[in-house]
Amino acid sequence: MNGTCGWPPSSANSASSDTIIRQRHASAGRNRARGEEFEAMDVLSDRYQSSDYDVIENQLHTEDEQLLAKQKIPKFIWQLEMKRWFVMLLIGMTTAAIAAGVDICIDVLAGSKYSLVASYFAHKVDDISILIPFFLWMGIDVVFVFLAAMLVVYGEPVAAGSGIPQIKCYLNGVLVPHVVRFKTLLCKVIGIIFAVSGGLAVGKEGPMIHAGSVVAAGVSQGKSTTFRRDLKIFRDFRTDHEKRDFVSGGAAAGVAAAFGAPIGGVLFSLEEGASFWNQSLTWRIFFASMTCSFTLNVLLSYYNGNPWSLSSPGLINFGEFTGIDYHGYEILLFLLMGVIGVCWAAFNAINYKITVFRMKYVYRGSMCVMEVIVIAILTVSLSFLSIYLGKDCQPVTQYVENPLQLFCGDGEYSASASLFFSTPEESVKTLFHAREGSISFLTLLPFCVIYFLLATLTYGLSIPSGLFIPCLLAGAAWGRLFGMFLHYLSPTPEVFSACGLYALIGAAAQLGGVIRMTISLTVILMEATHNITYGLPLMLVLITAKWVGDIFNHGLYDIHIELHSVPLLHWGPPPVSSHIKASDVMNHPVVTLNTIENVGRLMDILLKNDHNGFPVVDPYDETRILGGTFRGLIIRSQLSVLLKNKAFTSWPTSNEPRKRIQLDDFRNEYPRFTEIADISITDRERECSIDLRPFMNPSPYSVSKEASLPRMFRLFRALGLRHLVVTDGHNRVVGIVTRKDLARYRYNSHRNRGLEELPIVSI
Amino acid sequence: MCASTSAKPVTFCEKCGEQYQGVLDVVEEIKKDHDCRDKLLNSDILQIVQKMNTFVMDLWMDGNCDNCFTQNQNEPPDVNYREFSNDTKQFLILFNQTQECFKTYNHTDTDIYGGDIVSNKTLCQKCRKNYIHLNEFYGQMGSIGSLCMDLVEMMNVTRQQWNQVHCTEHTTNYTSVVSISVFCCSLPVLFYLFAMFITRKRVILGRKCVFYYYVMLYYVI
Repeated sequence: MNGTCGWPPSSANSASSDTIIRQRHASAGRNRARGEEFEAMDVLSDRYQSSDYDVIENQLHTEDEQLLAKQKIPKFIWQLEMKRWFVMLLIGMTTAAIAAGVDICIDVLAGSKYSLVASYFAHKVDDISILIPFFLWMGIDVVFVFLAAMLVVYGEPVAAGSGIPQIKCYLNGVLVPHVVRFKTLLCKVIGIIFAVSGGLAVGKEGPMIHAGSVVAAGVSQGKSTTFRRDLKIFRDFRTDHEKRDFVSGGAAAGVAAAFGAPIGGVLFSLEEGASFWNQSLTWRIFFASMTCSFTLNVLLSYYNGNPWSLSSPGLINFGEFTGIDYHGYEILLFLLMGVIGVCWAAFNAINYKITVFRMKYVYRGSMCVMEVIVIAILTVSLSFLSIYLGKDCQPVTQYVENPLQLFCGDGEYSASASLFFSTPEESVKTLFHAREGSISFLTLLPFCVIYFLLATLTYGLSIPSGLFIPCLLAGAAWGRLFGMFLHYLSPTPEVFSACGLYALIGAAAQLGGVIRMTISLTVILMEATHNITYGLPLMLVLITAKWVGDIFNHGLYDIHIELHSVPLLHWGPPPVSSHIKASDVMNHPVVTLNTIENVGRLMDILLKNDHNGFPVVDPYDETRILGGTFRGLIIRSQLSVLLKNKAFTSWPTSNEPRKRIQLDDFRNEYPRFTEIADISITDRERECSIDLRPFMNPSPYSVSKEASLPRMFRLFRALGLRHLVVTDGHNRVVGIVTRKDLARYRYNSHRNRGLEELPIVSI
Repeated sequence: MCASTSAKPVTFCEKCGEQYQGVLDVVEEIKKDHDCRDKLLNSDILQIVQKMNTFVMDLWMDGNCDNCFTQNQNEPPDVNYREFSNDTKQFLILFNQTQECFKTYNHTDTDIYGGDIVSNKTLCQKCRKNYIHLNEFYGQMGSIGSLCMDLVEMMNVTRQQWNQVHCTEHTTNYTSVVSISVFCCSLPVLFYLFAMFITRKRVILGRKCVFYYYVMLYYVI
């Protein structure tokens, strides 16, 4: 299998890309003269389909509901609600189990790696023999990282990166291929264990959120396409609408597992899926995230040897910040730290340039794996160099894990080793809680610069990689430096707070400046530090960092989404766009189907193009003046079920059996419907006709062609539509609007400063 | 008080065992008598007695002083039974040997416990064995968090003295180690240069048609 890294997924439309490549070779050299080069950020891909949250209220649906009405409605509704809560409980517990497994595996692997290398460092320090532990360290890291890269490149390319951009797209309504499959979960979880143990500048938080979403998508359907098992439960949840609600719960559970922040998880889901919210969903998602946090707490307490002590609600533990309070005037200093958000915007800019370079030059599977190995070697070499050249020796206390003595005297350890030679979470805790003066300026400054560069280089590699911990660590280093600088300037020690607090504020500023999430990040950090009094400075710093950073570029997740040309619909329509009418936006001419359609014509239409929604109209007469009234909308997936079950209305002879289609036939096929090309229709059957009226949506949402872009955008986004039909004054179909058509219009505040229209491409 | 005189270097556990025991006994007596307890422990806001009791108990607990002595399970610890454990005795023997060795070979003839040593080679040679024995024994006594504070202090002082003598000289070969590390650091640069010049660039080429907003674009390698 030929591996590629990152997006775009190459599984679909591979035939067309082959032809394109052949074209290129045939006319090599001429293309340059004919074409111009486009940036990935300036185009939209047509590869991405939308989810459909509109309920198809066709005749089958109505009959189904009436059948239920004859039975006991209250019991059915009550049972459905209980099922929903039970599924949320399952989601919470499964996500917690996965998170605990990841944490324990990383603890074991990384712990044994560090103690092994430390034992070599204890003896072989003189002369060149120090290279032995160095190469051992490098060797172990390369092996781990190689495994992680192989899993992603040759297993499932969607598992690369953080997973949060993909989940953002999914909650927005874009179907990113393979994003919630079991194989993705497997590659992601095993990959992140090896990536973190391999010493790279990555965290395990983003992958937890992705894992929670996959768990939710899988558990809520009650069947697995990978394992070909159908448990026949949860049939009512086999629609895009229900699945998405559960995925929101899964994402919240993932956040709760990663940070020990259940409320932060709920707000994270809220921030990403704002327009599809309702109160009962909020309550259920909160239940899922609390269950997840609690289960994880119990599992980890067993692992730590204190069963039921319930002291580790999340994977990240920032330690206790008791007794460290800030003075009122220091809030101004915190704001200043947020304003120096120009550094954080630089992080995004550097990563953007590197990602564009990677998309252009590093796309083959083998190159991607090589790149990961090379970056791992760089990380180890820079860490080793800093430790080797560092002269900072501190006395050993009981709070130091794996102290490296190196060139220090007995009873002392190297302070730069405590930062470089440990997992990122340990380093963060060191920076937050170390005593004043236990890390010198000369150790911290190189660490800050090196880690900043490593973090921006590492995000975007073909491994599962979280972004939270690297940003927190780089920011904590910077913040602590700022705090030490203030202490140096101040006349008395009491004027400014502890350096650890400045480290926390710096970490928040960095994270907010890179990711630009607002309320959810504030609450996550507040919950992770177990201290509400830090809420105000955290919020101010995050707001300042976001506003300053937004002057220069977008958040890193948004940049990556734009680089992959995903048609994402933002929170609102682009400003000053009311002059754009539906007739400008819509897709035309539209392929329509007649209410009673000939099977042969239907097959031809379905095979010739890859539209997903077809307006159903009254048949035209020969003159094409009468007829054509808009009657309904039918989806390709429904048509494939009808054709597969041969639900024709007229048959060649009267002896053919008539199969009555049930709603369950549609539910059983969800989510992967049979491809039209795989359905065999004989020539005799091609002459049959099929009545679409019982199956189509009899009143889909439609707008007149005078509707403005903001109006259509709000309708589309609020209701989660997939198609919006445009009609003229006589209720005839003139066009159809899909997500791509609306997402084309983008307000670019950074480069062109205006409303721009993006071309849609087939990449 | 006893605690303030044995504060630095820390010999609190060793010297103040009697006083600690005395405090324990008196508090026991007070607690048994209800009348006494109310009058002494609960009757005023400042609660000096209570605070002093807490202070003494905390010092003893934080210093892990019980670890220095043998654990007597049968009877309540009494000043007559309080003797050093075997580990403590062994450690003290080694420590005294090391200090004697330092004293012998130190050129300035002052009492050096907690004082400065001048660096010299003979001291390194002769006292190295003693020091290594002490170090190893200390290492296998247990983790720092559970050791008696007196012993930890003695070990720290010895180590500081040893560090001053600069006996464990490590040889460093800066040129080779740094050059190899720098070579490893430059591997990514070489890789990216290789990628840029050797592999074919993957671009999105295309042409904008005038009348339609659809553009014929494709990924080309």
